[in-house]
Amino acid sequence: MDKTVFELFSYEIIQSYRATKQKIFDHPFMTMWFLLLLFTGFGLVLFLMEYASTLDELFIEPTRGDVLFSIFFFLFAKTSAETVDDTFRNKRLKYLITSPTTSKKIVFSRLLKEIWYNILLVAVSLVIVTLLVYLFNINLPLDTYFIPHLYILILLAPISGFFLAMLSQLRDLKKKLLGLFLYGQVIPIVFYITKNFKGI
Amino acid sequence: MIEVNKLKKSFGEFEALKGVSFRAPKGEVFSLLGSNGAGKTTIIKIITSLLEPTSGEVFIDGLKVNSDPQVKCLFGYMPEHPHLYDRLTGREFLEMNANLRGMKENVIKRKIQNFSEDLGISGVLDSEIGSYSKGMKQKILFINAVIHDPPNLILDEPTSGLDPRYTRYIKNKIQNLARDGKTILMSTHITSVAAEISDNIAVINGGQIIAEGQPQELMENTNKSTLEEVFIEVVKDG
Repeated sequence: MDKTVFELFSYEIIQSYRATKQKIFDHPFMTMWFLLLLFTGFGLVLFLMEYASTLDELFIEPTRGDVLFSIFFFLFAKTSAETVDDTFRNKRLKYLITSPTTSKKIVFSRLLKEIWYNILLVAVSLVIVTLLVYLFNINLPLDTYFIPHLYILILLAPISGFFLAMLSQLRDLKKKLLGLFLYGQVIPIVFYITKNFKGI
Repeated sequence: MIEVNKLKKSFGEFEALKGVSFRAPKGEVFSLLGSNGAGKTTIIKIITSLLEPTSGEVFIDGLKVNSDPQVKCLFGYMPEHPHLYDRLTGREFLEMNANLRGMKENVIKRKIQNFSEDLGISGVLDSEIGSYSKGMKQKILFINAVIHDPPNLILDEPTSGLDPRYTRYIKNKIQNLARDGKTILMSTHITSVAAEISDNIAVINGGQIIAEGQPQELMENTNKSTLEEVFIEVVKDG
């Protein structure tokens, strides 16, 4: 990948980092409230998972695949929505579009940004989960294959979400519908694969 | 030189441009004069490849816009609405854009320093753009448009938001750049700015050019003494 892609990516990260820092400084109580909700939310999910694993009979049997698919779907939907807003409706991009940089480089830098955000989000989530597991001695019904599979999905989800957003912006209605129909197959395929993950 | 041939642009049912043609020659200031919503910014967005025309063609120094990627090396663009990276500093924003144009680091540093001193913003160059006034943002945009020394300059309302002192600076700078052989295409709704610095003016109304010529010529043809009166007259007739 070209140097320009990383340069554009780094300026985007600086812009987002400073904007987030400013928001935290401007609204410290909101930030604390948000963190509290985040920890509580994660805690509830973990306790529920632990409790469900102790029951003998359940009308649904959540598996590792279900958890992975839920994470994939969340990151996929989040990336699609963010890409439409942050890439296709972003008025700041006029400076890049009118420069001699190719559209391909601009698109790659945006994709890198999305992947970076998803990695960051999952990393923060894993830190919270690890903290809660150690603090409350929660016994999670997840096996050792969970983490490597999660890594694969962190990369696949933003890429899939990004391309779905790109397809949704096609002007030709026929191409758009065909693209979305073909791309729609990605979700059931990922669902099937995650359901049937046996390990790498 | 910028050449626009039979440019049409529709947004759904609405026809924003109805076959606009003009030629902005090398070494001249060519102004698009019109009220808000006349179609000036749409023309500029098509020339800078931010919009695709419904039909028609645009050439910059003989290269066709939207089909030759090299064409983007031939112009500098100053948009009307800044939409800048508000958390980057002025210096970071200018460096980012200059890097995209392949300029050398020492040249970038020197030019940013010279232009920012001329425009009186060297003291705030390392502050975040979000803290700038509208006038300061306009100055950053102007530096961004000229920093790589392009042969063509496309300026959308370049004096909007500037105080009289820097409006004077920008007007002088535009005239000097034209004297140096650059093509300047400028849009404005301020008749005094257009009258003062333009070699040629195209008056736009409802997506079409309704009058074109040198400022003096336009005044003579309509028997008016100021460009403002000319504008009101032709827009009323158009």
